[in-house]
Amino acid sequence: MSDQINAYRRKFMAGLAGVAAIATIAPSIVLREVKAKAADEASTDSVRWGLLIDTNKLTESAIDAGIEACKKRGWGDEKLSNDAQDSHWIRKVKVTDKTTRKETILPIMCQHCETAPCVDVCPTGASFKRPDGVVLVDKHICIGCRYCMMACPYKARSFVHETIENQRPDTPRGKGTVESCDLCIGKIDVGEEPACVKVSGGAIIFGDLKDPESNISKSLKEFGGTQIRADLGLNTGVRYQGI
Amino acid sequence: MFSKFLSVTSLMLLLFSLLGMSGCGSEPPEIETKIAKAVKKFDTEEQMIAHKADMRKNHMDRLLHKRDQTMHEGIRTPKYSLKKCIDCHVPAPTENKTVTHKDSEHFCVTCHEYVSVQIDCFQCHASHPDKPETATAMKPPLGLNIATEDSSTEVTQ
Ligand code: SF4
Ligand code: SF4
Repeated sequence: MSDQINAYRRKFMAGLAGVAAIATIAPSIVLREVKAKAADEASTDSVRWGLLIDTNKLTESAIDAGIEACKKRGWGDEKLSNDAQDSHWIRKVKVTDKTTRKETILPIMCQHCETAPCVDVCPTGASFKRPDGVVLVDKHICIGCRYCMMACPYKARSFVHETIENQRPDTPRGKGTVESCDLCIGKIDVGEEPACVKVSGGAIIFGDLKDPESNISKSLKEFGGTQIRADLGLNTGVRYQGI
Repeated sequence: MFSKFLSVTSLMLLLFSLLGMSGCGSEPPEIETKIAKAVKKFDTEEQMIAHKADMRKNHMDRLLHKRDQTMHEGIRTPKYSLKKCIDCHVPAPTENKTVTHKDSEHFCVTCHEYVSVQIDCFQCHASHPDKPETATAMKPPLGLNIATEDSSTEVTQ
């Protein structure tokens, strides 16, 4: 299944190769931590965006601030949905080590899996992975079957249960479709950092996992980083330190 | 039969001329008078005419094409972006009034009501600009060049 999808994607992207070739020699591309692609350049697999979360450094209030900053993008004020139905793009999960009794609070958002189960099961192609590794839902073609919610091992996806009004221009969302953390796609496409990273006090690093000179890769090289449920072999784009 | 048609036509013509509503084609259609004016102006008259002619006929295809480009490839140029349409064609909310897709005055709604079309863009997309600053903060004029895509490099999210 995934091979088929990949083959399809390669074919699809081949049509864009011309655009990408022009873009790679464009002088406006400079090496820095968050490389904004030109606005008219298609996303390519020369980068893979990821997050590195230092759980020792990240305070609970910084997690709350991150959730608030994320909500400001336009979700979380549903009026009719109950707790189980409410959207959660980031969840706060408390884990206790049985031996050391060390308590850690983890922010869990979509892990932007390389081999994403949500993409594999989606019957319409609405759940898809962009070439730069960001997993998104194309709500125009999502039929709300919620297969992806069941497939996601991280409980990262939410279903919108009620009619939504007053959406923000950069975050379209509506009843009957599934949504999850989009890594602030509109921001990273123009070279800004995701909202939760900005308020994390330096405890969350955003960057290109494929660039060995990026801060995220350097920190991973020096201190390592754990994938939650690494046993599933999903090669997540979100990594944790201190767990 | 034919004479009846002639007499009805001449009667109508007489009525129209009496009412000062000659149907000679120089009057703008009714919808033109209703539809809200965009907040920004094009550089030249030709650009404006080309934009109108193209978008009246093709806006649905342009938007659909751009939708897929933005969603799947992350291409965020302002041209044919729904957000930019809204920024220019639906005035930013003022303290007293926010025009949403539920108002008949809303730019998109004016026409869609007129031609009895029901669209569902605004079930998910914002139907008005975010902040009052949005419209004034944009650099007028847009300088949209109908011929080339790379004419506008302004970045949108
Ligand atoms: S964390 Fe869940 S929603 Fe995100 S890519 Fe992985 S399977 Fe999909
Ligand atoms: S709910 Fe939408 S995105 Fe998820 S599997 Fe079904 S169609 Fe795909």
